[in-house]
Amino acid sequence: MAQVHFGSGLQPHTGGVERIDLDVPRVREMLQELAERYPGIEVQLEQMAVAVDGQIYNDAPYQKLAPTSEVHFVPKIGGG
Amino acid sequence: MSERKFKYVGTRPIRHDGVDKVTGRANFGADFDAPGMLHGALLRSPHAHARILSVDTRAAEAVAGVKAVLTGQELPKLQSMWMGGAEGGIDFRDIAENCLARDKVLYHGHAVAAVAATTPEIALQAARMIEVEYEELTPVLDLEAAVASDAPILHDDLQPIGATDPLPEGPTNIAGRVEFSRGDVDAGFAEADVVVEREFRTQMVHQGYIEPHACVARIGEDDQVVVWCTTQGGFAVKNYSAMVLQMDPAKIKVISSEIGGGFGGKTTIYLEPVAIALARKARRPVKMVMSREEVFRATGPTSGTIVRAELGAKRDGTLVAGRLSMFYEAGAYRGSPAGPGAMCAFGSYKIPNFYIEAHDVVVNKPKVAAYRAPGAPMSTFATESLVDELARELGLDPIEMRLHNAVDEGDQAPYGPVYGPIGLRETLEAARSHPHYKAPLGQNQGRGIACGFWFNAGMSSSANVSLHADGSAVVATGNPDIGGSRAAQAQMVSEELGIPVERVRPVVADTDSVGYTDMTGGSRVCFATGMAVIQASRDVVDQLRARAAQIWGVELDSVAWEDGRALPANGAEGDHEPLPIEELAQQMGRTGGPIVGKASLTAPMAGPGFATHLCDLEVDPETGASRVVRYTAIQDAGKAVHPGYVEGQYQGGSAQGIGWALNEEYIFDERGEMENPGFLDYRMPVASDLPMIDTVIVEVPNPLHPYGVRGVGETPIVPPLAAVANAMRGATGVRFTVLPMSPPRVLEAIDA
Repeated sequence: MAQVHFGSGLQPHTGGVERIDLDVPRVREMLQELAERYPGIEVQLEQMAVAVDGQIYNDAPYQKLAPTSEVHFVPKIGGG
Repeated sequence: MSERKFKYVGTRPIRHDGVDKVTGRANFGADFDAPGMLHGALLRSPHAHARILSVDTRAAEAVAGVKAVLTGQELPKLQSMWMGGAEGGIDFRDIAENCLARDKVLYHGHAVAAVAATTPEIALQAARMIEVEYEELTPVLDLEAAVASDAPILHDDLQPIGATDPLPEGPTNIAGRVEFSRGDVDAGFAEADVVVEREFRTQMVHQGYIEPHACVARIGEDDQVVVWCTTQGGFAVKNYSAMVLQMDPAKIKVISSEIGGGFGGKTTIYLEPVAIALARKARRPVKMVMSREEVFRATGPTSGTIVRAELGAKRDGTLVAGRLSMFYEAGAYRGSPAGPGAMCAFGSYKIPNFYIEAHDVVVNKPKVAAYRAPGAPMSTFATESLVDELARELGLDPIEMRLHNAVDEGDQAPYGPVYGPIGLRETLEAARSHPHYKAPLGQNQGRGIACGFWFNAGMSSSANVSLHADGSAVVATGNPDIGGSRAAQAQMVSEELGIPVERVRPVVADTDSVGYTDMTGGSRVCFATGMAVIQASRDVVDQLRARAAQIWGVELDSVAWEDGRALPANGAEGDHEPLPIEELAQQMGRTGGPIVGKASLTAPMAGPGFATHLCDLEVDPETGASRVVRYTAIQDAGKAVHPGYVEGQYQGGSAQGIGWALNEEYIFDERGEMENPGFLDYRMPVASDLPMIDTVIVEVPNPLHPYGVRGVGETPIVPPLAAVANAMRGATGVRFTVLPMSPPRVLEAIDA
């Protein structure tokens, strides 16, 4: 199952949970699952990029998640 | 990937746009004129914080030659539409009201109304005749004032976004907060043998591009709009302008001019919707060009910051704990680079226990815009200064201390994910073995070392590669060329097709002529648009192979492509003579028609870029004036496509960072008026101020790119603030925690 990590900035929205394992095929289903488990967190996650196995995606709902995937949420990055 | 032998990539051809630029023929933003064109001018606020009670345009409208007058009230009233995005995201309501204030002015110089007239002089004179009645409000001019419990509030409806729990009650100027942590910070500090703690401050600084913002907007009887402008992204101008004006974007075409520097400051819009709205009202083209003073007062500087920092290490130099509390000025509207600043702060080191918080704070100053590695130079100034302090206290060599703690592939970044292949260690080793590091220092001189990190963006890009009948090619992308990207793209086409770089014409296409492409920024163009160029070139090669197969009457897999020729392969060898690209191109019409390769993609983030800088500084103890006497920038480029332009990026970023460290700052009076809005008083380094900046290109291939390319444009501005401050510490014995280290400030500190 994909390991989903929550930084300290998100943990107030997860009741202090730092990590959960989810059996979800893609980023989109992961976000839906998280919104159901932690109502209100979707507002925070909408503003964030998703890092899957070290690769940061600003907007990739259809990115596939492997059973071994590690997922982190980070602020979106552009640059100058 | 790393074994590939390149023929054109890694060489230094003359850039295709070079002669036009050095002879003055190149057309920049202000160079375009349209027949029947009017000139626009803006009335700007004399107050940093005030409510607009009324705007009377009658006197201006009565001036002979005035064809249109526009106020913020005439633009569509937008609802707040916050889009979390890079460097704090954007809200189109804010962008609209920054173009023309609606109910409130939020900084001195905020545009209030606009005039289009037959000459620039008449437009300016008429703009000054617009009567605005203001209710003055107390301006909020620094971070402490902004977060005070009794602070005047800029936006009554502002709600903090991000890691803020619980939300502050009532209105606030804190627009957002991010937080990162790892391990047990208190236990980490308890374990430390040495702890250093300082508060660092930086001021607002401007990107300082030579070319002011400029545009021409034309509207036809059919309401089709054409905008010529200087920008880092034509598609952004098209879509943002459509959003601000609530127009159908299909009606807007944007033609990007050559760009005289952007550094992030031309990733948003200021003039374009105003020029379109004036053109629509006057039914004539309207040209708008900012003065230097307007550029300083009303376009994106980057944030002033306060960083409270603490770092602990064991006696052997092992970093064990860090703590950062940071505040970034957003200017008039939310959206400072506090987030990336927090993510980069400890990006270079393995620190088992840390806590980082960063706040996005609105103040009555110009809205900040992206500036080269947004947010990272300020936080890195703090952390790299403290690493230097720790090395001094522990009696360790500063490079050895950094090598001891440097992140490697497989280490977890402070913001969560694990790093792939990265080159920080290689840059430190290159610094250690560089002659610069061993050279003796003179009297009153000091040497500083600092590292820096930036993510490098990916995002969306498109490219078309068209083959001409003579076997030459045109590559068209949607990215304005800021740092030599056209030359690099031509080299990529050459590499794939096997034709000389001089036979590839690289073109910056308008928004009607190429697929959607995100902005030139985020160090993404050579990486992401480069990937699109390579894919489009390979599409051309596949088509050429198919044409050769058709001519030879063989299957496609019996045709190989090498060095600009189709070669028989897989058993067909010896049956056919090679077919050069010129011959295949000549036969395009009879083998299936013209050949055009296309590619569009969304790239992930481009892979981290790390740098190590060495700075030698000499200080005059009589005057406090300082001079950089030697500077070396070492950075991992992954693979340098055009090493000359990679070196140019290293040198340019270093020069901007040195200016930020030593001289540059926005100086405001007590009413919030900028007192130094010109290059005479806002002192940026010029060529005669700096030594030749030496460069070392380290190449640790990026597995995300077919050639191993990483972005290189932004990382070079991350280390210099601390590198210069660390050199100043060596030269004077004083740890400077406030920038800029201008002569009066240095003199005061060394005399203290």
